[in-house]
Amino acid sequence: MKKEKEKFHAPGTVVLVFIWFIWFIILYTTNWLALSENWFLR
Amino acid sequence: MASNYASEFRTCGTTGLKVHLPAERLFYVNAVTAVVALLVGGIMAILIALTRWPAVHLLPADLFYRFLTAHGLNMLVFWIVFFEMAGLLFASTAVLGSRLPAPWFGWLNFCLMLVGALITNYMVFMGQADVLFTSYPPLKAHPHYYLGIILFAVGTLLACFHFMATLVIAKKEGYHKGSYPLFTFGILIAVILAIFTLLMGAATYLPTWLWAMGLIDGINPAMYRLGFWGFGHSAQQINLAAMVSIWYLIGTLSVGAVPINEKFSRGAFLLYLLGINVASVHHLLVDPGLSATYRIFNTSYILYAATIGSMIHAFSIPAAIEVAQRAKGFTNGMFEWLTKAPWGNPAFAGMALSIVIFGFGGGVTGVTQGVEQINIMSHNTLRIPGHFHVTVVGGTTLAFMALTFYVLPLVMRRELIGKSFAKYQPWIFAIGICIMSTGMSFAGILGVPRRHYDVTFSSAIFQVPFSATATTMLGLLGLGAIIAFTGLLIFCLIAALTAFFGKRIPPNMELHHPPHIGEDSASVAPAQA
Ligand code: HEM
Ligand SMILES: [Cu+2]
Repeated sequence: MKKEKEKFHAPGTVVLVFIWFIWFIILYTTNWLALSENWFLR
Repeated sequence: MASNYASEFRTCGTTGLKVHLPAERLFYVNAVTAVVALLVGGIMAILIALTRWPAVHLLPADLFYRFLTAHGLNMLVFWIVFFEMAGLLFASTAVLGSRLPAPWFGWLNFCLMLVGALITNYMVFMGQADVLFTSYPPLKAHPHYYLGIILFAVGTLLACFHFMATLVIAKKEGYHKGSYPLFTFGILIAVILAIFTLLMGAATYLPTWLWAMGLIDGINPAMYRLGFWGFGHSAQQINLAAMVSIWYLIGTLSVGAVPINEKFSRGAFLLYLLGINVASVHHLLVDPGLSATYRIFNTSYILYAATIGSMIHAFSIPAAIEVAQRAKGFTNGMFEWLTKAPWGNPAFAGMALSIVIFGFGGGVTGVTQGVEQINIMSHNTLRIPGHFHVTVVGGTTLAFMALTFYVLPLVMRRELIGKSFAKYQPWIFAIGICIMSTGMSFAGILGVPRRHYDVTFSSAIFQVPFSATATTMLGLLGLGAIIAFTGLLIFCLIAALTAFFGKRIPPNMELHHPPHIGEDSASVAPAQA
């Protein structure tokens, strides 16, 4: 509808979302890594 | 007919809400009882925390388990549920400007709950119920312990029906028109969850009670665990829905935030309804009685429905706050809206910290530990309390505390005592809980079990040595607990002093007739969910 380019109304929140997401990925993969070290295949 | 009640209302000078005085009195007793339970649970908390700190090792073994039972019950059940009962009254009467259909019924429910809580606490402190709050058979408590919980649950169930009845009355008598506000809608979702939860609780506790009285021979422990968590975890989903509703409410009250997309938020609430009852199985991820397929389907699939709901809320609220703040002119850079937020308002600070702790702490640890393979590493270690102290404490309890700072002046009509302390209270509590949970989580990663009196095994034949780091982490647990306990005491002190001695704000009595009377009383839609 609008001619001007659609802009984010809450850009700061988008940044927060990405910070959170990166944090989650680090935590999640670290856990699998720990599991693979403790529970190895024989 | 409804206008008979017109003289029982006052108008809130700040929010303009019409408050039904009989509902307000009930609100008051429920909230005060909640804070008493929080204080009892808090005193137990510091004692058990100082016992888990090996350098202090405060309590003897029997008292440790007794107080741990008392802590779990008074916090997770009595503090949270009494507070939620106050929340139900607020969401159904003040927010809708409605009257409470039957105040006597409200008092009956409250008395049932109070008597139940007192009986259960009495049995625990008399040493007749050292079964921890989960009371897994074959651990058996005195029958009155279960009776107390059943009375409490019946009272809660009746209060849920009273809430529903208020919603019906609000529409039927014309106090409210159209769809319910988001806060009330969220609480309605919590109530629907609560009804399911309480029925599940009945199915679990009634046979256990009969067993404790010797009327039936035994309880199948595997069935009990399944039933218990159908009740115990669903109860957490109620807390979640209540907490999120409070986030929205405080966002609106503090900076005038309006939900970005209300339909979307309502949809996220519906995901709670859908996802959680089944996902309760995450408590049984390593339970040998259930098939792996069942466990993995319930947790690693269904659980995410609820998780997505929480993510929608946890990001749409900051977005709503950002939009509201930008509209006020805080548009510099990415984060001026955040840095210039009303951090000095304890309700805002508490809500913001609650979102951060819940999202960055509780959510991510929950999703991670809800994976069966990873759960095998964390099950029954201190990682589990490390997880739920950043959900139900750093998240829910902190949000409830934050709301209290609005409730005291607006609903209880008392001027806050100790405003300058109130400003720091959310921070002290939040920092303490984060430190404690970090200590718990890392000790758990290093293998330290939960619910354990003495991990140094000082008098055991076999030694199970933990690393020095693990001991340090337990010290961190103790340190965090001291800070959090300080925050908790400040809160209880402010709440109690204000509720009893705060300067009274005189009620503004105005006749309140149902504004929409006769308009559409035919199209009564009690529960739009
Ligand atoms: C100052 C605040 C608090 C401190 C210092 C604290 C500390 C602790 C500690 C040390 C444990 C024992 C962990 C173990 O040995 O397994 C524990 C357990 C627990 N806490 Fe808290 N806690 C606090 C607040 C809360 C609140 C507000 C809630 C609920 C709303 C809560 C719910 C629980 C539950 C359910 C348990 C598990 C009990 C069990 O294993 O049977 N805590 N807490
Ligand atoms: Cu759970």
